[in-house]
Amino acid sequence: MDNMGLVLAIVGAALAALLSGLGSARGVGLVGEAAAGLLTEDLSKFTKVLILQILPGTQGLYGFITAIMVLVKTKLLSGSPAELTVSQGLMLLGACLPMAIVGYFSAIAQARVAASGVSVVAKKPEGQSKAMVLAAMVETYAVLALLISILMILNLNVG
Amino acid sequence: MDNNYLYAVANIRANELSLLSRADIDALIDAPDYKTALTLLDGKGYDTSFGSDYSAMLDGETEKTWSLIKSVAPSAEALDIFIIKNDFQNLKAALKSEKTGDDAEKYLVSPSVIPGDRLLKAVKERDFDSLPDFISAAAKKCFDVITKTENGQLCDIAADRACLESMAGFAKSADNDIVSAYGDIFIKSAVLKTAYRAILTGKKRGFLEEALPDIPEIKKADLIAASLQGTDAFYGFISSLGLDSFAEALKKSPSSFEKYCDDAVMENMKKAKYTAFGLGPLAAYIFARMTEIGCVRIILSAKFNGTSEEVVRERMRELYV
Repeated sequence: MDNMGLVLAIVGAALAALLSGLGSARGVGLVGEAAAGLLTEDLSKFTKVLILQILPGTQGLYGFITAIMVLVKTKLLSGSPAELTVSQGLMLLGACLPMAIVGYFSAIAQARVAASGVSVVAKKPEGQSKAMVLAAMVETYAVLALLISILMILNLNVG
Repeated sequence: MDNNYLYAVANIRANELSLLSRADIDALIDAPDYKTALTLLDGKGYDTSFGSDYSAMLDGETEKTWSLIKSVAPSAEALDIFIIKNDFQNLKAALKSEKTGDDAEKYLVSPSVIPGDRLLKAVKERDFDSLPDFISAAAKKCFDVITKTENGQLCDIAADRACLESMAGFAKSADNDIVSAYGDIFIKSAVLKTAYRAILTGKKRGFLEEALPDIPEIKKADLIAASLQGTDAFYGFISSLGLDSFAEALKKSPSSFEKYCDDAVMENMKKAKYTAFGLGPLAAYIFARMTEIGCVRIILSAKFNGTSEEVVRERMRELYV
């Protein structure tokens, strides 16, 4: 197949956007469900739980950034894609995997912490910031995955 | 999957804020009269429009709790373990009214898994197969007992035993530690209470064989053998099961035993405070409300009967919050 390297790079970009996006969609949905349970009884806590709901959404954004970087690197956005060897394509695919995999799992893990945080807000609204910090701890690993994916993509010699 | 109950758990957490605390219960006990106690309850969201009919008020509160649970977790069948005893109570009422010709509706209790009118219709038409599995075989058996013997007490014994066996089935299939532990403690305490009462009233082997359910944790033949030898052998048997604390509570008095069992269940329920997932928090809320309503019933009844404050305090159960 012509330009198999480019195909592999696009698969990598797609995986980063797809898995991170899926994880975030599930995560935001889970926390949203818990938040709705609380809001049924007390609408005044909307702002507090909205912040918790947003947290697992960041992985989807990181996956999107990773995918865009691959598209820029391979000059797909300019309309004249680079000629990539299979090994270059595989390297870009590999560079996307940290964000794709960690993005998916960390979004769901973060959602579980944030959903537990909704229970904290239900009983002790003043504990919202602490609940947020607990959920944000999970974010560390999504950020590390994003960093490593970006560093690899930037430093690969392509095209 | 425990993620199925996220909405329900968050909703219940918000509702937990309106549970009565120990301070609220103390204030109710300290209230100088019934009217003041009612005013305090009104401030806590109880519907006090029933006036002196506190029983109707508390029945309404029980209904309210169950409606809330069903509205936030409509498919949580495992929680039916808390109310199937009412179904068996209704079954007894329906069967007896068939025999006596009484109007069974006034004896029906709720909440129940099977609507009372459906149960009455099934009994009237002898259509026991239309009832859910957990009660259909028991209904047929109890009907046979009351038809053949015309003895309401034997029918009660069969129904009570079937109820415990159904609860054991619910506890086993609950797939939730907190619900299973509730069933486990409830069934063990009911079995021990039945055997203990049988000893005190001098019942024979035949009664014990009929009344005691088969549960894996307590070997029926051994329990019957111990019960027939008297209380000392019975206490020894309980201790041999590793249930020394049950035996100690029973030695004090039946009411101490009841309190001990309720408090043991509550200790188990308190684990649900630290989880945001699964059925546990819902089960704990139901039990917390049942306990609270039980305490309020004791207090309000004492205001009418003039029971001493000290006795009332002794009877108060461990609360969830």
